[in-house]
Amino acid sequence: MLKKFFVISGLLLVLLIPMTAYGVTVAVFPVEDLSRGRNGYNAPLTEFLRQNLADRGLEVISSEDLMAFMVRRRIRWLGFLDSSNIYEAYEDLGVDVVMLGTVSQLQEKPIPSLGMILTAVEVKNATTLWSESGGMSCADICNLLGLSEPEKIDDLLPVLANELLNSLPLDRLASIDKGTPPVEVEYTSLFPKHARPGEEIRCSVRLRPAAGQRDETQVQLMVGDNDYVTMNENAPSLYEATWVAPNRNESIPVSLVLQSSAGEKQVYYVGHYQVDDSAPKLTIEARGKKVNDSVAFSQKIYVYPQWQTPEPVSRWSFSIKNADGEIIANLTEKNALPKHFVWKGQKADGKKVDEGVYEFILKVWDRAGNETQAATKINFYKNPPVPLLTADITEQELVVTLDRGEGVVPTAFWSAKILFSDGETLVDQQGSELPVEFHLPLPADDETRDLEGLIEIQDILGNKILRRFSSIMQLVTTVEEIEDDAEQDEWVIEF
Amino acid sequence: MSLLFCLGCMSCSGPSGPIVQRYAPLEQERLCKVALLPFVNNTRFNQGNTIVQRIFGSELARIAGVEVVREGDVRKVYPQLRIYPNQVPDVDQIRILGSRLGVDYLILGTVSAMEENFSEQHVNPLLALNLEVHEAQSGRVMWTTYHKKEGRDYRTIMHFGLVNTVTELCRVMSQEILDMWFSEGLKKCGE
Repeated sequence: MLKKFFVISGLLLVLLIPMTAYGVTVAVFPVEDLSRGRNGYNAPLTEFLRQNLADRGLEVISSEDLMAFMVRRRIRWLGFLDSSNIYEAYEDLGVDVVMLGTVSQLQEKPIPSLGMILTAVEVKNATTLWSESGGMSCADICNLLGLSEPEKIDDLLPVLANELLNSLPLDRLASIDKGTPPVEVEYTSLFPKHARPGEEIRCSVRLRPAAGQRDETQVQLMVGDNDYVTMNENAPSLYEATWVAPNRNESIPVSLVLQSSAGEKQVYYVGHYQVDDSAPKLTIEARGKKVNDSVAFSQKIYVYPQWQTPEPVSRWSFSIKNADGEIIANLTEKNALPKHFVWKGQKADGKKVDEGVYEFILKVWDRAGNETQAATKINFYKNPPVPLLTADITEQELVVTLDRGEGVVPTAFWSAKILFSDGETLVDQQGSELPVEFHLPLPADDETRDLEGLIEIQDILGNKILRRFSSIMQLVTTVEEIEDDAEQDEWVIEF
Repeated sequence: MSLLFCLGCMSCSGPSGPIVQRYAPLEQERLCKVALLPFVNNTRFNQGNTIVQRIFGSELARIAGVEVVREGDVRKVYPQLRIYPNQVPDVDQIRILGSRLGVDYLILGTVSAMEENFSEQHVNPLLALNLEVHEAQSGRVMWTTYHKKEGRDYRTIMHFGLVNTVTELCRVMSQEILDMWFSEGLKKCGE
């Protein structure tokens, strides 16, 4: 009985020795399979690696422990890790080496082919200890008489993986230095990137492991060439510092300086901030027809910002005020300034505004928050010119006069058509100057047709009117009527 | 026999190697620690950029003994600097990346062609990539390298030498690029 016990114990000992021969613990992370997209996972290769490394005398941690670690650390991606997770694997799982794998290609047809990248990472300093990559297809292997040639992926996988793993430096693994991971900068933030003189600048840094916990690391910022700002640990591992931007326009670099108790200094460039005290320089120009030396419009107007010195903006605001100083439309954006603005003479609710003077105001803030304002005034005219048609009878002819009513907007175009009601046309003229007279023969006494007029007038802003006068003869003012009118120099009761 | 000789000679002439363009002399000739910025994929090959980036990184570590910054560390800084995927960082962002990652150089790659053309017995992979070597301190582009090859370019005789997978082609091309860099004056760390 005792003899049996010793034999079995001896056999177990012989079997166990190679498994921990190197005293190195490995975590084989699930192998990423890029042939299946971004979230692909290759179970056969993962299991093969676990088994193969165990066979080579390395201690491989269990899948359950590894999975629990990945859940704890919220590791969602396969094929790569960041240093903090690698260091955590050292502390949490006690592993010396992390094995990462990626299947770069995997296809059965038309010819089975497989590609993979394997990397062993030393966890103490998160550096690559060994890495190999390779691809293989069934067309690559030609044995004598076709013996033992792989025919599918399952045959290729062990051949290729073994070929790569054969160069794994097991002796180097055994001599891994199991020291403490160094301080790592996990996160940095510098805000704002553009500031006005006197504005507060804030920098946050997260370190891992917490400085002071294992090592009395001094955490400072170097602002500019030689100004040092001490960072305060406001939360575990989170260091913050604030300071005031100087009174001069310049770009100032900021670097993080970590100095260990042993005097070792590490410098990390965090970024730079720009001090800017000058407001943006711009004007705005409304482009349109001029009426009485000021820009006017009737349909829509284009307003163009014009930079003296172009620079990026952080936000802008465009508003329109009426003559009473009331804001009738406003637009604020954080995007870049548009090349132009267009206004169709509408309020914010879409209704047309009244005729009058309006002011466009553009406010712009640069990235440091310096504000500037540019304004211009325009006139809005929406009423078309009123055609005035009069007729006079002289001894030999009928004189029809076309003019326009009161208005400051010049006439651009007129068209007049005088015709009988059956379509016989007497006048068909166009022009741009008003007033204008048309001399027509007097209609015969027995003429029964009405003499009609079709008048169209358009001003230079595009306001247009088309009016029909159904009987021109009714417009005729005789000399007697004029005289009667002249005599009425006081109000009379009209019956 | 003469046919075999001709085929042999054809393979001797071989295709052209990587094309290196130098924009400025390297401040630090030794390549000790580099960061591979996420490669850009301009092909329809699914995950082509990730495949090429990982293989090139693996070859950098294997052949040149270069310490390649962990891909996860690079990816972690990208959102902090508000750099979107497939976006090329600007000069200041490259400087910050270089300093944060503690590297001498940053390498940015663009995969411009990646495909596998199938025949009855063989696969002919094709790969074209462009690499930019940025100096970490200034963020400037120092070198660019363009390399394009296909699997049958490596044929020696009959089917021998053919490269049948895009992975293997990428590995071989990565070696050629590194060999070219070292022949152009770059030195391995410790040399």
